[in-house]
Amino acid sequence: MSNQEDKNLPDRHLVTAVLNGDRHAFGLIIKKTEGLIAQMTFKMISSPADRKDIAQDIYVKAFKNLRGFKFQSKLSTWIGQIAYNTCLNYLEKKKLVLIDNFAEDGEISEYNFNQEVGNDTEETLFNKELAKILHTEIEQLKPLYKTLISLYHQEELSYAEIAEITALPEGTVKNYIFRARKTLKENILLKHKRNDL
Amino acid sequence: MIAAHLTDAEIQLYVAEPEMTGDQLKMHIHDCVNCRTRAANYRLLFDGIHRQEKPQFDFDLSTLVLEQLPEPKRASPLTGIFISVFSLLLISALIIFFWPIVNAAIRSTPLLLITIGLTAAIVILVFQAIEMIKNHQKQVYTILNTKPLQL
Repeated sequence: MSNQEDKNLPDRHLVTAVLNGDRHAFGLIIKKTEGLIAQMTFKMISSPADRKDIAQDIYVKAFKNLRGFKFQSKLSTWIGQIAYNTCLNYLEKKKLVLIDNFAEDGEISEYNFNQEVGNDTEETLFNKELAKILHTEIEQLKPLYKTLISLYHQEELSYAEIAEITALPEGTVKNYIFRARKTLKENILLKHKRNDL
Repeated sequence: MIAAHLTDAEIQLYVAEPEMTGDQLKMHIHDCVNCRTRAANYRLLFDGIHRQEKPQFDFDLSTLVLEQLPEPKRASPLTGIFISVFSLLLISALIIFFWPIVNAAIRSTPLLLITIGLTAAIVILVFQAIEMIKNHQKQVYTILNTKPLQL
């Protein structure tokens, strides 16, 4: 059986196998979910060394508590919850701020990023440049905001799934994501004019 | 038709979840250059975030974690049998030791009460047995339907 097929095994099969003593099945659970965990730890933990320790800690905790998983959510969501709480504890220990209050700035004049994009080459260059700028600007956001934005836009989780992972009300998740996008857009508009691109 | 420009929240909703946006909002965006520009910028932003390279660990997480996992604690099948036999012996010893008291209590208890007690005990045992059989069947089904795993 190929690794890809193994990765598609249902959560219930994998969990049962692990509980029956099959440690390799836990390896498959890690392979299945490490994309999400990488996304969360990269966004919440800046130190690569700490990130490595935390990623391992998350899965050791998941293994030890697997018997308590009752299939009331997806396995990835449950491991995501462990990851979120582990990262949160780390940030608290390090006295790092997960979120701060955004000052409600006035409206920034809108600029049409699209208007000057001409042919395909120009568009490719523009997209590459925008990707770089976006990467930098996303990194400037507070850990919670960049985590939420990545979970929604990159991991394509629903608001409900993100709410489950973070234990925040769904309305709060929507509100934070809205504010994070707005800040992101305004920061880009403030710092980078179309001519710089 | 909405006359004032849309709020940022409305524009974001229009771009992220168009199916959740009302017709009035859509009509306004269609007719308003300013709001259309803002929507286009948000669309560009969302696409840009979506296309960002996903982070990946530069180490083999699975191997590192598997090395650290504690040995699974698997209960020996003999443990259950041992506990059952020990409990049975203990109860029997207690009944034999206190037989005069037990005997007197049985003789003084009305037959109807003993019948009710016994019936209740049998019913509970039957239900527990059914539950155990169901759980066993479920486990057997899961084990039989679990495909062999490979890393």
